Amino acid sequence: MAAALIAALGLDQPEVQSSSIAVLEKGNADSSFVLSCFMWECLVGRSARECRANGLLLPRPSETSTAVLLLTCHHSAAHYRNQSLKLGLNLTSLSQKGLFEELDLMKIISESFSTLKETSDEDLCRNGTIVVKSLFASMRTKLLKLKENFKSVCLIIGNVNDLLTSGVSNTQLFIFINYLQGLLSEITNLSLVISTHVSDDAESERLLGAFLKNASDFTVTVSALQTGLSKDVSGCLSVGGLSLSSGTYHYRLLDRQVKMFSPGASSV
Amino acid sequence: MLEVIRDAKLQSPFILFVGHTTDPPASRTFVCDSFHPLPDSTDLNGSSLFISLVKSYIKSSELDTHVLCWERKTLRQLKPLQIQMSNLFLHDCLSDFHGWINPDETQTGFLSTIRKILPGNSREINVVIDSLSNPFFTIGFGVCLKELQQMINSTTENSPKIQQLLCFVHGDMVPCGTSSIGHVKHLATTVVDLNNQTARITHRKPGGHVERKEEQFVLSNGQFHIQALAGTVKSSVPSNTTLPQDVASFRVSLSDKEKEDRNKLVLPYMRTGDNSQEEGGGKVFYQPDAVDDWDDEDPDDDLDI
Repeated sequence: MAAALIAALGLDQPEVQSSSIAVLEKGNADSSFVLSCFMWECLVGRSARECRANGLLLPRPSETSTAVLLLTCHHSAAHYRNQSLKLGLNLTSLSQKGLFEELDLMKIISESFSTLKETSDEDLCRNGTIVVKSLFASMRTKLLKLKENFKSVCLIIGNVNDLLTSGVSNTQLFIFINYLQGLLSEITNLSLVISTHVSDDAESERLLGAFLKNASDFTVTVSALQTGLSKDVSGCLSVGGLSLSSGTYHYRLLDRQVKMFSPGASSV
Repeated sequence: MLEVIRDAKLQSPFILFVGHTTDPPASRTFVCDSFHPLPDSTDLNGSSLFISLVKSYIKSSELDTHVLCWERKTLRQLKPLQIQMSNLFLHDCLSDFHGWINPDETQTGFLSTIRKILPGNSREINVVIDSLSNPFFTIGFGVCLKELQQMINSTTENSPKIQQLLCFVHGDMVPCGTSSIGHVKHLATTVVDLNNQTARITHRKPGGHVERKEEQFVLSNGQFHIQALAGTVKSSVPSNTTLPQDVASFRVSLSDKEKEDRNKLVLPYMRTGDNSQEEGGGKVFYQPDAVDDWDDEDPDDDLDI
């Protein structure tokens, strides 16, 4: 299950709530399982812990619950639904309860372009700004609406670097991230999880990774084993931040859980 | 010198802190030697030191200090201090700088942001920007450099005089490659390069003299302490340097007898015991040359004085 990953990285601490977390994936690693684990933590783990602390058996929605808004860029929403289902989290039923909402990047991009009556040269230059601006507006509206009904809200963005290949420049993307960071001051109990792919070869991705890392309170780095492939180890996970003790772990992705262990202790 | 900056006693209009990211020290690398995590900028590149220094700086400074927060952690860490210190003004540059939420709130640069909450009686202020990397991308590198220049020279009308400007910049987060950090360093009168708990300080004095220092710092409980630099004792000069007497085709050194003779020689301009009684007043001796055209006549003889 996801609890092992969350506990191992220390992301179940109270200070992680209402903070921003950057998830950086390097090389051929895929960090989508970390995002699914975060979703599990927000939708199940956090509220269950709070109920246990208050001596309650069943969680009372809206008082202890955390709603999740997911923006999918690289993987489809179906990918996250399937992945979460394996972790014991039914996103379809949770979305019916209003605890979970999703936004599709490509859908928003096509909608933002269709609102333009005439596409002039100037508009084409400003395309990127229009995309990120409308994206931010729709996300902010949804988050404010979710906050009305639930105690805390979590915004998760998967592979934000995909915006760079959708006509958005680094500058426009950095302004967009600034605005998302600004939401943390506007909306209480909001946590922000943004993942991006970092490549040393692509300067724009390197800058984006460094920008996110500097902007966030905590950083989770997912990378593959550089020594090659191993049947016991899927890759490396490290966490760093202001109040968390830094550490590196190896992980193994199993069908229904993520197994965490210290480097060199894969058989334990 | 870091302590002098912290106590707001360094006479320098623009102090620039440059955070350099390096790989973590050996103690923080793990068993899996193939894995190289991204450098932990929050600990190693000096941003924590900068915030700690700014906190003390605000307490020491008598002037109002305006902090432009371009990173959320700066805002979060300085917010509690704002309640205690009336001379601290925090500007949240992340919330709505470009007017996406409220178009009336659109700001154009650093000075327009400061003017928004500038008390009417402010004549001289200090400004802190943390960090410049963000506005370099989101406002523009050229615009930022121009504004920094204006702030240092206080050339903008209707703006208070900026007594001191403290900025932090991530060395690896500068547009047009890391070499462009040189443009920003050129503007600064004091540059503090922070790298792995070591500060290399270059201070340009008003007279043009350049002072260089290296200090090592340790952060504990949000306060930094200066430590003696490890391994700074100068090693002896290596013996493989070539001396002139080894390569010259003539004798360079003097014998003891020659040195004694040289010391006995009295040069014409040297004072000797004969003229010691004339000490106490100035006197000019002139020995005309043989070819000098010396005229004994009074040049003012024809004047009716």
